[in-house]
Amino acid sequence: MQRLATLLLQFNKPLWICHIMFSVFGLYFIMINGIGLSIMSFTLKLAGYLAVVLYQNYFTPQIYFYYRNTGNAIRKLYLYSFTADFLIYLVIIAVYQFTLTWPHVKG
Amino acid sequence: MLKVDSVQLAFNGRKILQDIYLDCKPGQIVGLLGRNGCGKSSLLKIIFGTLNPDYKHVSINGTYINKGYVNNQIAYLPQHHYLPANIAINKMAPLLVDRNNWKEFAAYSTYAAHAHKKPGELSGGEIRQLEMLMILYSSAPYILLDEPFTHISPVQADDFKAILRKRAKTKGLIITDHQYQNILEVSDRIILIENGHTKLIFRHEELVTYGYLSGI
Repeated sequence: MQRLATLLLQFNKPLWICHIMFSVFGLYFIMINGIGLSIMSFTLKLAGYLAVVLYQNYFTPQIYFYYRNTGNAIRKLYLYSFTADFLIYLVIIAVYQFTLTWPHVKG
Repeated sequence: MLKVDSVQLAFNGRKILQDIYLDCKPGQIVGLLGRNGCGKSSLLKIIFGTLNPDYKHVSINGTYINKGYVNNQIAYLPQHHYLPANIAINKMAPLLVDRNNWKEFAAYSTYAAHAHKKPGELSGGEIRQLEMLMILYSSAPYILLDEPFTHISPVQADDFKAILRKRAKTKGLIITDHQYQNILEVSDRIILIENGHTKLIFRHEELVTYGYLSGI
């Protein structure tokens, strides 16, 4: 389990800037259009994931052999990476919504 | 035993591989020779599971395998560098190298001298040596090496031939390289790929007969 966690951190090293960038875009979209359109922001996140895969496939496909030689499929690593990032994104949206509505609830 | 049978591969209607059979047991080094573009690297990728041919049957101990790399059944040294350039060697090596052989691996000066560096800070030859060592010391019982002698000097090649023999005591190795003399020297069996077919070579003179060498 620890090996997989370490491997995922390494796999995500070139990806996290892209993840943060698209999360900021998504959050900005929600801030402008409201939480009701948060599903639309998921499209932005999906576009981010597509961009990440295309970038890696085009510029650094050779490093996939390192991950495969550890016994792992690339699809699995992408799935874990994107799932973790998406869950973090959902938490960020929830925290944003909570802080936005908290004074009204309290009041 | 690793068995590769009935591989058929075509690109744009041109048949590259069509009558392929090879097997490899732990304890053996199988040398794969052939002219440029004959499909040696493609065959290794098919065995590893990263290239999908029209048909293949790859098995280990009688069990069919689709992706050789899943669960560390097969490890593969590609022709090009495969280590990510921005991660330190000592962060990657423990994920590739078998824990039971870690001390032996870590004792190599090639690793000890560069453990804290990133591949981006090393020369092509140094990276190649480290990549090859990591693959040879992985836990996979079968190892595929595509042009392992490229980028390394003759004296280093001699050192690596000794390491290959040592690691082949417990693993099955399939190795291909254009430096055919190194392959002939280190291999227990030679297989030539010619016109998409595999031919088992019994005498080196046959390499001349089949047109792979002009003379010995």
